[in-house]
Amino acid sequence: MAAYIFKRLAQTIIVLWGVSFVTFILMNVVPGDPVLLMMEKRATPEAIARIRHEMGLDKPLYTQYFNFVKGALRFDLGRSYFTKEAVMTALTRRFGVTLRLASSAYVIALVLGISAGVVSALQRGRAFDSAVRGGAVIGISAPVFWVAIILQLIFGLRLKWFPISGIRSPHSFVLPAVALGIRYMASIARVTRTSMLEVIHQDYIRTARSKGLGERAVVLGHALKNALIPIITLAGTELGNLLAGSMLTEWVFAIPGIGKMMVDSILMRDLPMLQGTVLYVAAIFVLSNLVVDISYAFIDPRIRYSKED
Amino acid sequence: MTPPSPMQNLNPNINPSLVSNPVSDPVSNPTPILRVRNLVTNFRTSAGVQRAVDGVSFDVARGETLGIVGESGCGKSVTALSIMRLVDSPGVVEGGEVLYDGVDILKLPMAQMRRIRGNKIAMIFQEPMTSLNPVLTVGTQISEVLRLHEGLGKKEALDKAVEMLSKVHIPMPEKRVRAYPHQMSGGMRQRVMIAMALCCKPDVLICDEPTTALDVTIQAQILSLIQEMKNSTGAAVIMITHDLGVISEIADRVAVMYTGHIIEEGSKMDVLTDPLHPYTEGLLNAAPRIDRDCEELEVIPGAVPNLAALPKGCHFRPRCRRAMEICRTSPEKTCLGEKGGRSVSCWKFAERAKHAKHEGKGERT
Repeated sequence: MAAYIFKRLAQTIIVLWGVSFVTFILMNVVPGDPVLLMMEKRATPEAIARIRHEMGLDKPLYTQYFNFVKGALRFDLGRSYFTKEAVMTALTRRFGVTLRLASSAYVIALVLGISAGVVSALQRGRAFDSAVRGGAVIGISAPVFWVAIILQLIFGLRLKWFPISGIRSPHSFVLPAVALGIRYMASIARVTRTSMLEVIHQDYIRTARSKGLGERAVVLGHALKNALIPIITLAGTELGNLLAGSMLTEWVFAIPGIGKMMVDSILMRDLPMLQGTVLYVAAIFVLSNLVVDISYAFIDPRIRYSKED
Repeated sequence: MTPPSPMQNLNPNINPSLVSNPVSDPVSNPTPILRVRNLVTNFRTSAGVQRAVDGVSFDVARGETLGIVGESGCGKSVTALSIMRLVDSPGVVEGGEVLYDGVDILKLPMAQMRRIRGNKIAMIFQEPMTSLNPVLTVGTQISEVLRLHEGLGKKEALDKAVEMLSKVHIPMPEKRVRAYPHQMSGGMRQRVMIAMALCCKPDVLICDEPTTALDVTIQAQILSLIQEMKNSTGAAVIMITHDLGVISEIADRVAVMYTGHIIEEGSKMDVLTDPLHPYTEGLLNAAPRIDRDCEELEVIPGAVPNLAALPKGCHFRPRCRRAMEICRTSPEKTCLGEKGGRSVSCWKFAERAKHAKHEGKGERT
């Protein structure tokens, strides 16, 4: 198991290197010059050249990239062209905000999604089941920014229950978390329903009933644990999606998280900041996949033992 | 005081006068622990109503093994599941009584029924490979029953589970109790199922083809284990099988089922050596025998009819060599009986049965 995790972590480094390389190339290929964006229109060519030199942008591209990699290996991702803040510091600070948002959304999605899916499977063909299935289709197909705006309109402006932007109070996270979590909730509900329906007709469920267990014990103790495997696959990848896919939500609700940082740095051609956020996204994806693979083993003993053998 | 015509007497597969006569019980246990009366279970599908169990009645006493034998689809397993009230939709138990210790458990509220399941009436299933939960250790699965019905704590229940595993002859029970089902062979898993079913010392053990999925040497071991456990706990055993070998090995009495009816019932010796119903006769002739030299096994011509489109009259009539005119016209198979706890549903024995009915009519309820 340890060897397996080590191998996967080594792969992670290769993935991160590849991602940083592609980002670096793309940012230097697309039009737009950070120095020009930074300077006022009347700046002299000499001033521009001086700034360029100070920022190391006059060096050949391969030297620039080499310096970046050298820094990255020491966890130094450089400084923002504009705020001069160290990228690592900005990432750490903003990660806290994104983590709060994503984890709230995650909890909402998991708790409501799994409960809705389980009840829907047990009530198959009845009104609640149809409602969950219909709701899930809407939840999956509705664009995040649209959901976000609708939530702002209804619960922020009309009912005035929650603030529509910023992070001043814990209250402020409610609408963004719902907006971000809704589609994951919908897909988790669907997978849970399908998986439960499959499990509930297995022989061992009949055995559990024949032992005299109540419905609760049968569903929670015997069925759900078996149904969890596809749910975990989804939930794991969704955690990555939530942590790395909150740009639209953060943008609409003006939340200073990593998603917003990424969009800002693209607009400003702030290469070090962008590199930082892209590496963050890549790392989150690779790590969440690793966590999923490891967690299978804890749920399903058959996987645990086959890996040891 | 004429005997009732078959028309008035709906679905009585067993002549009541014979069943209620204690002298006719070969095991001579006067009070059966489980009595099934006119059990009807239907499957309402889009293809029509299928009467999977159609008026089945039988008794089974403590320490007795009743074998229920028949082809696939004759309603053996559904009978067992109906007794446990575990029939899955679209199947519904629509009639009859299942009297456990005098109480009709079909009418009990679910909460009380659950106190009987796994505790007083336990069941072993056909597929040991899929009947145990793959993500729970066998210890957890056994101790769960003990914690539920005996109110044992986690530790005590697990100790008792180890004890049960050693009772069913699983080597190294202390170690095996922590194993998962996939780490065990089919025979081992069936032993675990038996341990699980018997850990609360049930009065009735229903075995639904417990050996069908196992290879022959393991089959013999499992059968002798069931026999051993029955002797030590004194449980009544209902052994459902399609294998006449299993019946001859383990049963005291035999009921033969065809299209949801019990068509013949009697002691093992009587049924196996002197079958009355042409279907039972056909089954026995179709079984390979070591004492007879033959090129080809005999077969019963035709196939089991579709339960949603049963033939008129006797359901076996289209396949029967001895079919008479009356078998075609009679709307219901009539139930006829003989002495000695034997009963058979066949017009061939109509005359003999009339005598029996005259003799026993005073006791009829």
